Amino acid sequence: MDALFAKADAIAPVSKRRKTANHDTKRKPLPKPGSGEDHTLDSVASRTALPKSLRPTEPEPENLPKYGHIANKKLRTQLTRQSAHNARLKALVKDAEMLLTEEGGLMEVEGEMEKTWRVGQSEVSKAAGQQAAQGRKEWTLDGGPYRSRYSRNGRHLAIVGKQGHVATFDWQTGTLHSELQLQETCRDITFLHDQSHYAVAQKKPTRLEFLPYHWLLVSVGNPGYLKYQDTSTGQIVVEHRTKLGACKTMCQNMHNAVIHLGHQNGTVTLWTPNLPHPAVRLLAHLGPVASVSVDPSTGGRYMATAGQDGTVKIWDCRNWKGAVRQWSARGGDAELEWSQKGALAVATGGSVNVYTKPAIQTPFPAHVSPPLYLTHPIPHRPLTSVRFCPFEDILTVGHSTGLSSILVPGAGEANFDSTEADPFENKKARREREVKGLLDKVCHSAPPHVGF
Amino acid sequence: MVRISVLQHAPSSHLPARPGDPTPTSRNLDPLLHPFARARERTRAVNAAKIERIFAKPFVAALGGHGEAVETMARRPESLTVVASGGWDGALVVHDLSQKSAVMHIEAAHKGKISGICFADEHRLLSCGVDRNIKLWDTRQVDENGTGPSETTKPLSIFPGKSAFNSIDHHRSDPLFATASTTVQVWDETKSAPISNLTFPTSTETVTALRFNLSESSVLASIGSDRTFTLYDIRTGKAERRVIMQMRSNALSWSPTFPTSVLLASEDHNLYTFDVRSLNQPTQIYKGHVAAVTSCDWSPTGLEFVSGGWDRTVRVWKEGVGTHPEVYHTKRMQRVTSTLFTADSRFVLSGSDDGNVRMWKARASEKLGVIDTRERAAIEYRDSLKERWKFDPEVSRISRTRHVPQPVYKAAQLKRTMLEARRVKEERRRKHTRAGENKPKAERKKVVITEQS
Repeated sequence: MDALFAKADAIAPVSKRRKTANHDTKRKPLPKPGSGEDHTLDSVASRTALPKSLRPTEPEPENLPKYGHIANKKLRTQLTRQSAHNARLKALVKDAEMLLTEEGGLMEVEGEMEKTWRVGQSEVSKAAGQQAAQGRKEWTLDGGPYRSRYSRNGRHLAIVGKQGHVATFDWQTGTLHSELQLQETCRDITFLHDQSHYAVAQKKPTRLEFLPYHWLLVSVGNPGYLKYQDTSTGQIVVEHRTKLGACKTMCQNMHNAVIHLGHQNGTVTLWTPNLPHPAVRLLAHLGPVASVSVDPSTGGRYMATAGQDGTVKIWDCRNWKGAVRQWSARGGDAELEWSQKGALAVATGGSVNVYTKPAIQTPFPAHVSPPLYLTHPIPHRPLTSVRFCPFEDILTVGHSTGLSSILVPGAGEANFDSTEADPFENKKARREREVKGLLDKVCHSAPPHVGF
Repeated sequence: MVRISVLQHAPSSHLPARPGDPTPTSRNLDPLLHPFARARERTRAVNAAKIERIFAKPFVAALGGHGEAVETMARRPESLTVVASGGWDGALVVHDLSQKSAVMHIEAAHKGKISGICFADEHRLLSCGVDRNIKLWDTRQVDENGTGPSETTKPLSIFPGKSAFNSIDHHRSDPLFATASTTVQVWDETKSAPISNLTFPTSTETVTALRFNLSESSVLASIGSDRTFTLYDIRTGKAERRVIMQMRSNALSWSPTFPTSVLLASEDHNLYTFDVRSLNQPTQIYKGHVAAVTSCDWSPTGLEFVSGGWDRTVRVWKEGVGTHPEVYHTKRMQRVTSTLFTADSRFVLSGSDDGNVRMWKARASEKLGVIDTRERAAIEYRDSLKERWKFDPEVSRISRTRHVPQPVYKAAQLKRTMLEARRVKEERRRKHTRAGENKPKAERKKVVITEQS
């Protein structure tokens, strides 16, 4: 019997008292193998070790939380191991930044007297590489002011003319996917989960948005109803009455799927599917709101609004007390769009102005426009849409005689992630992404992801 | 001078170099490029939990050969596939699990029920029955060369006893075996009478089961009908310790990895693991059965064990986790009288009153057959997702819920109500009488009445 107990003691001694935090500190440390204090341990230690593949390659991360207050030894070990694992993961993510090989575009001046906005498109396209220079394009089309929308990987472009001309195509190769003449007023277009499906706002809706992770097509129209339609099942999952009349502007925050609406009375409202009333109601302008856009480069922290009176305001979504910055753009109602890297395009009157990041987001009391980054005149009024191409330095402006693409260096994210959106994906990858996306569809009634 | 550069992707680094090559992928771990990453991962975890339940089809095969209840089972040492079973009608069957067929079938090995079987070595099998005989069999097949026994239905030898036997176990290395009847007897394979009788001095019990320790082979443990658990050393020939518990145990099993840990299947619906170094309280109580537990067996890994109960269910437990076992049941399975883990710890066997030996997967949703690398990776990813999101209410609800037959469900409900009423009564008693002056007795301390040595 004693031999049996000795064997068990060598594996795990029987615990007489409960382990507590203060008891733990008094405990004698286990003898080190090879010290000669514990013969059983010495005999085992030479033959027993973690295999090399399982041993951590790096030393233990520092500043790990100590779970001394937890009496349960097993749980304590597990928590310690988990926090070490998390710390290692964080370090590895930081290391992975070194693997981002692509370099983004930029435009810099050397002297103080030089200005980037003096550089015209001809100069930019001359300086751009052969591939990048193809982004500078003019499409002359009949059929009224055009609106456009890029697919999430930036490879495909959908355009719609007011009088019913709809086309989707791969803008890099020029492959036309579809072209329709709908013989009806069309106001907006959006791609659904990939380039093979798109939605056009005919008849009632004025604006469309697609929430890609929820598979919800959001539409708003002149009666002022905000409708969420599940494109995987076809059902209208929820319908909100805004009670604010016709609505002509809408945008989504990619990071929390909140819909921003701008109304005729100057308010901007924020909507989620699970709330029957707006999450935020904000009096942004004294006249109707002409355009709304959310900054994706800060995780949706900043919102830009433009009124029909020509004022452009930047709002901090964490603090709605007054705009961060405001200025008036010449030429009446402006169209707005933030790029992936945080460049703001404002299309008013006969030109597109682009402003860049630190200046537009720093609070500034005077009502003057921030330093201009780039400007481009377009003589075809009205300018009805501005869209940045994801993962490219391209801005597409829709106007009365078609569309113009201009180059905006530094607007696009250089390093894409193939699991999210890949401009170079092939047919097989697209199919796989469709199935995976359906499987990972986020439930719309779950509470929204809060925090910027 | 204005410095201008415009972003352009080099197609050569993003497109396959030759047709047929895999498309290069690029990663950017910036959280801004991965909106709803946590929400999507949670959806994946919920799906992983659902997939696990969808593919939880544990039943593998039913092995026949018995006319009545299967009382006892034993696996052959150093074999993954061969298992012997003995039934109430005295039939002794040796099963081949991979072929799902009987290798050997002896119709009337004993008169009346076979109460215990164990393998003496690779090929020889010991069986004991209520007909007061122990028989030694050779399980080898007769082949063309005549290497096997001439007639398989005849035992190699018979050891007559004085009273009906309840259990038998063979020594790990020596040609000794021990039997349980009114006393514990140790036998030598070469002698026809027992070489020693082991009994606790004040004992008047019937010994119902016994097992040799797997690490220290001279230590023997037995359980008796007078609610005792006794430890013997066959070298000294004495009973070393005895514990009297609230309820009697029906089966016992030594842990294969921890030398002093023993598992008891108790009549009070629970299983207990004891560390024989401190027998005053169990190390863990396993609650889940809704009727008496009649059998138990450790997995060879020592991390899991299986139990079968009077409630017609087989349950697979994790060592140290006292609740929410995996539950197996079928429409036709009756009261489970014997259970066994296979030697590769992938399957579980249960013998029941309906005369069938059933084979189940130890992990209900495991896929049998070849699993390629991608599938293996997907399975591992799903497992880690479930582990990571196990505290999510929906994930835990899906992976916890088990549908059990209505009688079991009702019995569990009734049991819960009764225990709750008992708890409330005790709480009120403590509140309003002097019983409340001292601390309530812990559940673990209630199990053992006395410890004797």
